[in-house]
Amino acid sequence: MRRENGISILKKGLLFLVVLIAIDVCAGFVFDALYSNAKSGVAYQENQVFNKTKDSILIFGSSRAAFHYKPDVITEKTGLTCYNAGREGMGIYFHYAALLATLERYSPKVVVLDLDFRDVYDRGGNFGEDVFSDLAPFYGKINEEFDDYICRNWYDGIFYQSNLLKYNKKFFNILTANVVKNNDNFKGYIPLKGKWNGKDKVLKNDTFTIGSKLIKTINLFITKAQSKNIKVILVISPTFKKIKPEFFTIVNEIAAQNKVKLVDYSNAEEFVSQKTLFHDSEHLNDKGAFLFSKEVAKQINP
Amino acid sequence: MLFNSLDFLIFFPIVCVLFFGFPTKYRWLLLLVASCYFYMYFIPIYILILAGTIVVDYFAGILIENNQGTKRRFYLILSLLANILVLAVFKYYNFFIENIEVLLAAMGSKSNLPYLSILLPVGLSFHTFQAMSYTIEVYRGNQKAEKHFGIYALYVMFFPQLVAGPIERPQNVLHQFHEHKIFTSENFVKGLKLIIWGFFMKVVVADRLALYVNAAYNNVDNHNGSTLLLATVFFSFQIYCDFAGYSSIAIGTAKIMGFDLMTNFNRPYFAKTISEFWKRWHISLSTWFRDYLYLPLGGNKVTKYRWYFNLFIVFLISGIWHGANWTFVIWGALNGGYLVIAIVTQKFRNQCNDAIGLSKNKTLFTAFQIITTFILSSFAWIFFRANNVHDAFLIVEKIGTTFSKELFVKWDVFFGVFIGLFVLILKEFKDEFWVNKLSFFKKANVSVLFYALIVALILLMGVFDEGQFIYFQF
Repeated sequence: MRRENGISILKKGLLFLVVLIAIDVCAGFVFDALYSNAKSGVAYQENQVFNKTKDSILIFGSSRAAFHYKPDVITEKTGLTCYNAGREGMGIYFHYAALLATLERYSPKVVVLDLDFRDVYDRGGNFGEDVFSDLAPFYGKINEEFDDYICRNWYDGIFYQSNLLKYNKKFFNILTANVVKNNDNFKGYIPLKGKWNGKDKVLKNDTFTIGSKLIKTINLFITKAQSKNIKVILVISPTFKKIKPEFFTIVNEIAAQNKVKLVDYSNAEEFVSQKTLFHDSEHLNDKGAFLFSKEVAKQINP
Repeated sequence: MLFNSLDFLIFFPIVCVLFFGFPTKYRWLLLLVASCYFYMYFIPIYILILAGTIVVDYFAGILIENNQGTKRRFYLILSLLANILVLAVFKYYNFFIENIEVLLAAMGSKSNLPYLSILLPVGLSFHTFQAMSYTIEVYRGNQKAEKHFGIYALYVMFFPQLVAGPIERPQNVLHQFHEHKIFTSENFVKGLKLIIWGFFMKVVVADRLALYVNAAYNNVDNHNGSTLLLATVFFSFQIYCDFAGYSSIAIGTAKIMGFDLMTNFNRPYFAKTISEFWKRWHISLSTWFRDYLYLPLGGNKVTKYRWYFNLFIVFLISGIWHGANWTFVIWGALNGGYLVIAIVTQKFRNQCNDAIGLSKNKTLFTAFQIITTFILSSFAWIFFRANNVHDAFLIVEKIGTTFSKELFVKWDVFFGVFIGLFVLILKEFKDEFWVNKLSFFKKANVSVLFYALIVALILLMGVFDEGQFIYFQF
């Protein structure tokens, strides 16, 4: 009787595993297809940068990159095609992953990294290590270096064998990305409308500590690009936020150490004297982005 | 250690294998060590508090059994006071001081009483109540005093139900620790199903609902009535799935090792009255209050007004048990008030239902009763969840006055919630109303498919941020 019970439970267990694995494999096919066909949103953006771009100039950075760099202006001034790979709400951990994915396919001529204080101070969330599980759908699809980079825990590589777990944080985005169509006419650039009329604010970043891992990743980003003979330019965009001087010291040190050009527009008079060029205290509007892109283009192609 | 952590997923199978591999006479030791390890994952030093109460109650049990009359009562009171003192110091001291200060300030005076800067030991109210039930039952003669110190310690510390219940009774659990447990496929399957379903309730439903509820309830000023109303409904499901999910995992975990813990939830949102709701919600606590407070106060075998008082006071204390905050006191008072009002208006309500013909249509009447009970319990949950009394009243006011079409939208949450709640309600509806009708679902292979699908949903839609269980704070 007990032996029969044992066989019965083994059969049920086997059926359970077979069904679960079948669901997982099917989910993998479905989500992979949906991801690569994404028409909008985060999935579309990532797919463009990770799998499709072939442009000579790539812009990396957070929202201040996505909103500030107009590829058409840069292309017109430099004669080189450009794509804005900036991503709202993401920090250097994400940008480095995006660079690794891009370099697996081709090497652009110039990479511009727009640096933000969030890239240096430990704030957690998607500017911190939360972002690695966001990148799980790309596990096993880029290269070993990429997989090692996004696996921060000993068990990540095991968990990412499951397609269901890989898409855990993305499945909703992927579904909507296939329903809503994007109007990306600007090669990754997102224009902001409206004029800012607020008061200057003091940035309360005193409670955040400097993230040594973040700084290490900025250095990694630069050296990785340089290893492929890519010209790297670091830029600090115009802002009305008051940033701690310590940030500039760190960024200057990084630039000097890696022998790359650093262009600091954070206090550039031509921008911060005109609030009409801003959408809010730290983001330029479309008009501001137009002027700023012309300035950056000069730096790329002096 | 949290059930919804990787650590537990490694810890439990190891304990389980060792448990069945150990000789029976040493299994208590294995479970006790495992339980200590489980508890010390939170704040290790707090195990000393637990150890203190265990020692006191262990000796109190023996002394109660060995004595008669006043002495017997004395040892019981001593043990109860020791437990209540621990609760008073660690859970209520700061609340008490805070209110003394407010009172003195109102009288133009000031106090310099010191606050305790300590964190509440996890699950303190649960294991304290479980320990108290032991000495009370020994005193009443329903349970023999446990002579084996290790087994008594295990009764209080058994890791599946140590930090959030079910609050067990010695008659149900103690003897099980002396028994020889064997691994059976039946227990394994039953336990695994409960664990899977518990995880589904917690990480797919509760933790996703929490994303919306927290956004609304932690920022009441910036949300309108419709958002807060939706958040309140969501919270009703969140707290149910959070707590019932925990209980399900706890019961399933114990079941795999061959231990039977009491049922703690019985689809409470299908209750037709508030009284029935409390027979289905946190059953181990409701019955604890019934057996050790309500009945000793006289229950309903007293004058009418005394009965009302008994009901009200029990729920008021139940509110305080939940937390040292006026929001919980109001929540308890509301539930007590509901019950008293329900009794007082019973005749009138019956007449109204008969007059409008509602009671003739059984299905419609049942639906009306279930919805009314849900609304009443959800209203009370506002006070349970709100960060403070001011917020709670502001939420009530906003729901009543600033209702608008502009709903705070989080589509990713809505989508996940829709799927999660759909599966949850479907299963609960089937279990409640179609228990003998859909025999198809009882087939072993269909059940396997169902649970494989549930695991797939957990992997795809679970929120894996190791969110704390709400009831851990109690």
